[in-house]
Order: sequence, then structure tokens, then C-alpha cells
Amino acid sequence: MSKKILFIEDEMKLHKVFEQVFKKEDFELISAYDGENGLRLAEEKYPDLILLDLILPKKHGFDVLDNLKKNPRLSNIPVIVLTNLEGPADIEKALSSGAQAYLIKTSYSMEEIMKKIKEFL
Amino acid sequence: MQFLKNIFEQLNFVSQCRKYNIKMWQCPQFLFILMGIVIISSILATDFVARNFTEPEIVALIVLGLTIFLFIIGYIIIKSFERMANAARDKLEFIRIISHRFRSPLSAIKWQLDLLSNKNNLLGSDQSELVLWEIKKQNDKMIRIVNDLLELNFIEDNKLILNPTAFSLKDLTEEIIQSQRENADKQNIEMFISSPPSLQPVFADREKIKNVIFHLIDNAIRYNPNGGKVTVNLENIADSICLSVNDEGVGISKQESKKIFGKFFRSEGSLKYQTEGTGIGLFISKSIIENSGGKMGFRTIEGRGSTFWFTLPISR
Repeated sequence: MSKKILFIEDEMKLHKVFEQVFKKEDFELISAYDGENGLRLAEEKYPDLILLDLILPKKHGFDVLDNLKKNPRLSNIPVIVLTNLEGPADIEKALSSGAQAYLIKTSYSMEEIMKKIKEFL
Repeated sequence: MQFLKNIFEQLNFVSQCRKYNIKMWQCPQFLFILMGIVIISSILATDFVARNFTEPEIVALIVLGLTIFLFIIGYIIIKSFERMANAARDKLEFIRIISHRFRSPLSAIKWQLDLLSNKNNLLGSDQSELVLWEIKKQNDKMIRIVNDLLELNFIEDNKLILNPTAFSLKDLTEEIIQSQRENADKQNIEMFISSPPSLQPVFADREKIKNVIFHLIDNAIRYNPNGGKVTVNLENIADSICLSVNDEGVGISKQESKKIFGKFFRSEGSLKYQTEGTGIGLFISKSIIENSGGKMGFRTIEGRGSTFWFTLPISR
């Protein structure tokens, strides 16, 4: 069965990019465009991995992360934060809240991101 | 010599005002000179008055009056410094917003270029055309942001150039709605246009007005909830055509209403929760409309939606 990856990100274009890559890798992309929807889809679809942006409509990425990690059913799903916030405080906060990795969008190539994803699958 | 020249230049407040594009009473150089003249002449005058009319009460009154006058000038000077400090802070904030605004499309383009150029074949063979098309679209978006920034610069410098012609506002609106259709479909937003069958052409700069309508419709789509409606209304009012764009979004609070046409304004929380938008669209739009002999405004019901409208003169 193909792996399911939930991508919580408000920018549509980025979903498109991942859709193209995942197709080739035979991963199933589940798209959420805001924080609330992201949490709902995590509950519903129980993905194998979650890619999470931090600046999100409706619910901030940090709140989503907290809720995920507090939920015993979802807490062991690996979460990779993929964002443009690059303050050391944000990175520290995300990692201490239970995120497995913290990637900054503009400094990681698609190959590096895919490598990280496969690492946690 | 150079030193003296520098001092003289500093004191030449007329050229200083022109250089920084500020009014005379906002110019510290002018205010300081004015203050100096007032202080010197008041010392002399008080001395003169005190010698010739020796009543201390009157002298005291004169001194009090002059002190109040100096106090007011001091206040104006402080205010003008405050304004400059604010402007500098706004610019910093603006740079932050703009940089963030550019990072999203730039990361998308970066990743898509990765897809196209990598050797490990992250991409199926039939997909490259789609990727190129996406890159092109994001590139267009960034060009639009840069154009807006340049426009802002022209407006601030009072160098906005308009080339008015007669054109149909309805045709232009339909053209823009068509180009925004895909964007609206993604959010399940329906767009409507309503207009009387015959509408006289307006007289304005078509390209600039296109930008204005684009901003209004783009805002209406972005601030609309999923499944909402965007309605563009055209009507003839006296010697002008009024175009209004209505959305069913969250509306604008009273507090925000006052600032909405200001530079760099972004709706509360939009920075935190919505990465789109630069906060200069409405400012540019209003300047363009007012320079074209029209008016621009909005009405809103909090929680129910907003309507932004503008008028343009009919072509004669």
C-alpha cells in the first residue's frame, strides 16, 4: 500500500509541486490548506507522515503541532515542519514540541526534502 | 570651505524640504531657525519693554506668551521627528512583509526547478510541461508585486503618469474575471457581474484601472470564505460610472476601517494567518482613482462582507 502523507500548507502551488513528486514516488498526498482542516484530516486519514507549515489560516502551526502530540492516537506520527520562519526560537519551540525535523523552505532542495521524508517513513 | 558649505546647505531649508519631500512646517531646519529668531527677538523685546515700561506684570505676561509660543513650536518639532521615526519603522515592517511575500513563490519555483533539473528523476516524463507552466504563473505573480512596488514609489514621489483613453469598463471587468476564474474555482467561489445593457465608456488609463479592478477582485476572493460569492456591479451615476465589488468575507472592523486605505495596511491577523498580500494594493488603487478624477470608498458589515467601490468619469 502506498504511504499517505498529509501536507498542511496554505499555498496551493506548493501542494502542486508535492503532488508531482509524490506521484512518481507512489506516495498518496492528502492536502489541507489550513490548520483546523489539517487536524481533522490527520484524525480521519491517519497519515504515515505530516508535513506542516507554521503560518497557517485558522490555526497556527504550533497549535496544530501541540494538538497532534497531545492526542495519544496521533502522537507517534512523525511531523516535519516545513516553513519559512527561521528564528532560532521557532526552531527550538517546534523541536521541543515534538517535531521530528525542521526544514526551511528556501534553503532545502526538493531532493533533500524527499530524503528527509523517506528517513521517517 | 567645505565645512561652511555643508552648514549653509543644512540651513537652506527650502532645498531641504524639497529634497525630503516634506512641508515647511514639518522641516526641523526651518523650525529650529524660526525658534532661534523668536528667542533672540524675544530677549531683545523683553529687555526693551522692561526698560521703557517698567511694569513687571506686563513683562511677565509677554514672557509667558513667548514661552507658550516656543512650547508649541517645540511640540511641532517633536511631532515631526515622531512622524519620521514612524515612517522608518513602517518601512522596516514593509521590508519584512515583502520579503516573506517573495519567499513563497520563490520556494515553489526553486523546488520546481529542482524537479526539472535533477538527475534522479523526481518527476514523471509527461509532467515537465505542467511544471513549466506553474513556474511561469508564479513568475507573473512576482512581476506583479514588483510593479506594484514601483507604482507605490511613483505615487509617493508625485510622479504618477496616467495615459487616459476611452474604454468600456464592462469589457475590462469581464476580461479580469475571466483571468481570475481559475483562482476563484480553487476556493469554490462564484463570480458574478451585473451591469445595465448599455454603459457609456469611461475616460481613464486602462492599464492602471485594470490593476485597480484586479486588486479589488483578488482581495474579494482571498477574504471570502470557501463557497462564497463575489459580485461585481456596474452602474451609471450622474456623470460617472460606479464599479463595486462585493464579497461575503469577514468584513472590516471599525478600528481597521480608518486605516484600510493607508500604506502597508493589512487586515488584523492577516500577517499571522494569511501569507498573501502586500498591503499596498488599496493604497495604490485609491491614488490611481483619485488621480483619474474619481472617488473610492467602501462599506462593510462585520461578519457579513464588504463592498469596495470606485467611480470614474464618463468619456465625453
